[in-house]
Amino acid sequence: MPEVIALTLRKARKYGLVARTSLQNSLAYRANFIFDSFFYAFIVFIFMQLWRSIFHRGGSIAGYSYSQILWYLIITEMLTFSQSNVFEDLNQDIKSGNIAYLLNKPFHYLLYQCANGTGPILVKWLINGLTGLALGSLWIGPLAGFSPIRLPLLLLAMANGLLLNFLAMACLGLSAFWLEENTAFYWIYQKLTFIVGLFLPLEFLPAWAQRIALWLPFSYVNYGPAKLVVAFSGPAFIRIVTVQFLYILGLAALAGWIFRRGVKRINVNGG
Amino acid sequence: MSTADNPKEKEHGSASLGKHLQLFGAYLRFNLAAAMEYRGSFLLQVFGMIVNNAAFIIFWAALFSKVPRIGNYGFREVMFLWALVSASFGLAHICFGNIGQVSRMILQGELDTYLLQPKDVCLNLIASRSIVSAWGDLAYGILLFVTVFGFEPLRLGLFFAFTVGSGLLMGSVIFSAQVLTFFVGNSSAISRLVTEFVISFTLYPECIYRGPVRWVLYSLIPAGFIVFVPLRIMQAFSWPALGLLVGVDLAYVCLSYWLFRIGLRRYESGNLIGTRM
Repeated sequence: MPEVIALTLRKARKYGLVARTSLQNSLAYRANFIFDSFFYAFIVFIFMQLWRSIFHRGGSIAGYSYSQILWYLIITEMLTFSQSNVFEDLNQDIKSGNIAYLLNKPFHYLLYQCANGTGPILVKWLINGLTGLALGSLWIGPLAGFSPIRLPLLLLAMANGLLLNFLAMACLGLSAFWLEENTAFYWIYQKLTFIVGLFLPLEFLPAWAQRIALWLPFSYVNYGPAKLVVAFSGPAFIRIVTVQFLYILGLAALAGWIFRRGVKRINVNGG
Repeated sequence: MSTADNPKEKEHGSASLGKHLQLFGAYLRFNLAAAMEYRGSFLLQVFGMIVNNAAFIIFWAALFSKVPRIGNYGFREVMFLWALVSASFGLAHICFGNIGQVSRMILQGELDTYLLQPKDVCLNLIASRSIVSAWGDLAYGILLFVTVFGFEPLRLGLFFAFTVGSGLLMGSVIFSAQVLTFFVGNSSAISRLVTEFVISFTLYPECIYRGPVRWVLYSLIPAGFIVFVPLRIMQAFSWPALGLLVGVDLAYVCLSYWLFRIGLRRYESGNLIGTRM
């Protein structure tokens, strides 16, 4: 038993090192992320203009006040802008044949990608988080009922949302083993996450669509964490985080299965 | 000697408009034929782009189910913005697929090949490539317009005319941002930002913007002339407004062309050996 634990720790240390290197690389190119952060601020600005026009008489719409809807959008956009490019990375590795050079390295390719994606995600999350906090505080003001004590719970829900999205994108990227042109799948997935919770909370959808959306993984990428930020409740937290964990496990298993099947199809010529 | 002073090039630059239109038509046919070579991939990209754009209809339908109007904009008016932006963005990238690549091409010295050819460098450069997924944008824009506004010939004709004008205007703005590379070094980041600004500003009702932003919409990022003025003309037709719009479209096209010609004087060959087949 101690050997198993020691082996697991050694493996964890190995991927931890990959994650640390990726974080250092991301910090070296932080100007790129700052540029993205500027665009994030611009999108929040546009939505602020839109919702200010809609809420010019005050009140609430679909249960959200002006302040709540804007903080909701700040969170969902922050999560979207903090995602990694794992779809593109996998696509390039598989289509270019570069994957052949990565398969014989002493790590599992998918775990390596996961560890490698950590750096950019953490840097973007931090920069966008600070930008969002500054924008919200300056332009909207504090969120009624928000308590900083809940911050660790909210960060957990957000991290789960990012991981869930990462795994879904990895599954789509792995389709490159079979398909030369798989970008359309990425677009469709991306737009489903847009519809289900990015631009509007689910409460804006018709009742039947809300019921369906709550069963889908897309709702737990953006909507779940953002809803907890603007209207936290203990039962909602337990439900959202449980569903996130279940989807994370399911998608991780699916990605592993697709990867094992895909690797059997690799046929690399030359070197 | 700077490239733009080349007498041969000046001679070619004054070649007839007809010959350049022939070249443009040939590029269009060739690029379409090249895209159709991989028909499955072409259709998948076009269909994917249509579905991609259609997703936003759900956003606006859901929003307008809770909010009857935003200023003087309802669902139909917003759909007009989407239809025109998609169609004109698509048309610009079908006809001038290289407008988003100019900065990279300048930096990598890829203009040499175009400078040696007996046609106008600017047109030759931007028209020599086409973006396949842009067909999806164009198809989506037309489909959306026809679905919301019907087949009434005059209205449809006006929409097609706006698509051409707004496509030229949008293309000119993106192209100008790319051409800045001649003057400030790598301008791809600026260009990306300008493209995002143009698209984002044009997709939301005009009434949400106030103060200095409205000035920007009618000057630096001419979203106003790309969609808002066409919408007003569509709602209440007037010849002076249409004339003004055509004048503005042409002015931006000429400005971007002039910027390219001035910038080309500063171009230095990258000694890159390349072929175009």
